[in-house]
Amino acid sequence: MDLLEHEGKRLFARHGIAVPRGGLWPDPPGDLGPCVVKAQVRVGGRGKRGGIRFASSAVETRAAAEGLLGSALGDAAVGRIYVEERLDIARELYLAVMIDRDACCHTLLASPEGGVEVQAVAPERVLRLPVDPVMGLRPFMVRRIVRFLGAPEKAAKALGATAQALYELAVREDATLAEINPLALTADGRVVAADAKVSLDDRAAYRHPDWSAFEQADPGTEVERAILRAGGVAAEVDPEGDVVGVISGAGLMMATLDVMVAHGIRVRCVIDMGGTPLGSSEGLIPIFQAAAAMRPRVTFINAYFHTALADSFARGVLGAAETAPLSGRLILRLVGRRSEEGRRLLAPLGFATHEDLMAAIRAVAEAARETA
Amino acid sequence: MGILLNADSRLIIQGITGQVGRNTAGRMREAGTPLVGGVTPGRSGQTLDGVPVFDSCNEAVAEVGATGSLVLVPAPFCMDACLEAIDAGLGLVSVYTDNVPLADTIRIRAAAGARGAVVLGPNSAGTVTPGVANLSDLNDSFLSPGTVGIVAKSGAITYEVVDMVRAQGRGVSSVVCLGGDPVLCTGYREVLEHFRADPGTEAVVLIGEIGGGLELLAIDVIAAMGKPVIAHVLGRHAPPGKRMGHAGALVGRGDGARAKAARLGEAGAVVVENFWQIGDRLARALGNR
Repeated sequence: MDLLEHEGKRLFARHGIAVPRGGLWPDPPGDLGPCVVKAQVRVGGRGKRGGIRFASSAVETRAAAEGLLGSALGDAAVGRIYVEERLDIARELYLAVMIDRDACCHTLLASPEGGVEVQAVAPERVLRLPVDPVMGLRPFMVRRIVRFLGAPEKAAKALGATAQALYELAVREDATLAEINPLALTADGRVVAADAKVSLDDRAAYRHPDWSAFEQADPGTEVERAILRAGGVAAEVDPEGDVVGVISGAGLMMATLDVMVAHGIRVRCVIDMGGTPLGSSEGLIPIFQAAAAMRPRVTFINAYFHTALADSFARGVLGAAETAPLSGRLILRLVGRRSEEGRRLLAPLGFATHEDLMAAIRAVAEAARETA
Repeated sequence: MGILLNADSRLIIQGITGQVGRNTAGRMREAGTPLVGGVTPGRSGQTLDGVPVFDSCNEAVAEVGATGSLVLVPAPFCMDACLEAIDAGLGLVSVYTDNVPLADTIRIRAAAGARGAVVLGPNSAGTVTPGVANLSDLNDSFLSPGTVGIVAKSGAITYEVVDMVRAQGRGVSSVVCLGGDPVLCTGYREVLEHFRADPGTEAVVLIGEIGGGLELLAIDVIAAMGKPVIAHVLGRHAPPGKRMGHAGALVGRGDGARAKAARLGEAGAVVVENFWQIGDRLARALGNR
């Protein structure tokens, strides 16, 4: 889950990271003075797109907020505005903690060049510090970060404390990313998070009841969201595609897509059924509904089971297809224990049945051609 | 031969009294896998499918000499179950549970590293050495012993590879599934090191996929392998930015299928462009061996 800036700043404040005083429009604190009016959207390059405006008076603040509200930044509609005090910034730094998937640990990133995309900064100007989970972030590491950032003496202590707090936040709040860009050094020597970008690990939601207060984003397309709700994973590939693939397993889903495309097949969408086929036909119904709603010329079920029984899957397909008929020509490749019985059960439903993957793929290609 | 499992393996299931645990125990007993017990806190004294249930991994080690575990407990309890297994001295822990918080996986891996345990997953289909022991969701009836090692993230894709190997008249030394999560306790590198040291493995089929860089962390092992590595990377035609089934399978920067395949090829792997040609390329690489 990606948080909005004001939500991220709330987390920051809870962990002792200084943030500018502010509040959501229309109720920001009344005594902010010159302020920044910021669209709360999850798109990058918010400033460049005009989503951040400066105001010197209450009248200007109102004009900026009302101008932004309801406008569009990239693909995102602006539904919320955050208003905060304007900082007197002397320097802009970059500080982040993220989970490095290959190193399997939290990694701290720091750069003296804040306020720009970190990918655009020369690699030698970005310190990458993997944190051994057994050690945690130690004072010697924090000293290294502060030295690298080249902060003035009077800000060093606050800077170190910010790095420490950001690391603790990432670990305790189950954040996969906690990024401050820019981290502002103010003219009066304060260290303040001018922005906040936080992504939370959805797997950990069960131990963070407070997350329900955050605004949910709905990533993906309508079909992808419907399949997710049903317990599977879908990837829409080509809106003009002819074939929807319904597949058992993530690896097989990728392989099936690759092989279909290599055979000149235009693929509309591939769906990994996840654990749903192992239950009853009930689990398959929403998946079949989403598949049929795309009106493919060909629906291709590709399933291989070692643990589950193929004939009970076939019975699930029969039951589900009664409620949610599949669309277009039907091709089935079914392998595994009792798959012969499974194929026999599904033939009357109109499936052309196969055991061999490549024979099935050729049949899909032919069916897509014939119905074009 | 084979890796991770051997004739002395004595396996337990953590979460054996749950529905999946019971089914798995039954399947393992039927196939002759050395399942010696199960662990469910508070349920000691029971017997399930002919094997004793213990309160803790420590008891399972003391009573029946457990050496490895299959973890089938719900995600909120998974880290504790894994740490318990590692702390009890189990050398192999295969984590089938999915939706484990990434921060938990990080701690599990750190503990495994400190104690010298191998942890597969989370969200892993496990590992099997045909004819020796099966700690996976692959079914023994589809497997025959042989000299080809298989390593992949996905479980279901290894079913296909096992069939391709068999179609060439060969069998499998071991299958190892790393899991579908973005952060994993064991990568290709460690598994290839085991296969490299195993005299019973003549060649390895490596199935990579888009997302992350675990395949690339293995390239110096591939270069020094001394036996053929047949590599295929899934997701060549995956649309950018889409999650392809696995939470970890999403194209980011420089981790697309073609880029990875090219790097594996430079390291000396036999890169197979088309999935269906894996068996053929394996046969060519092995010749008459």
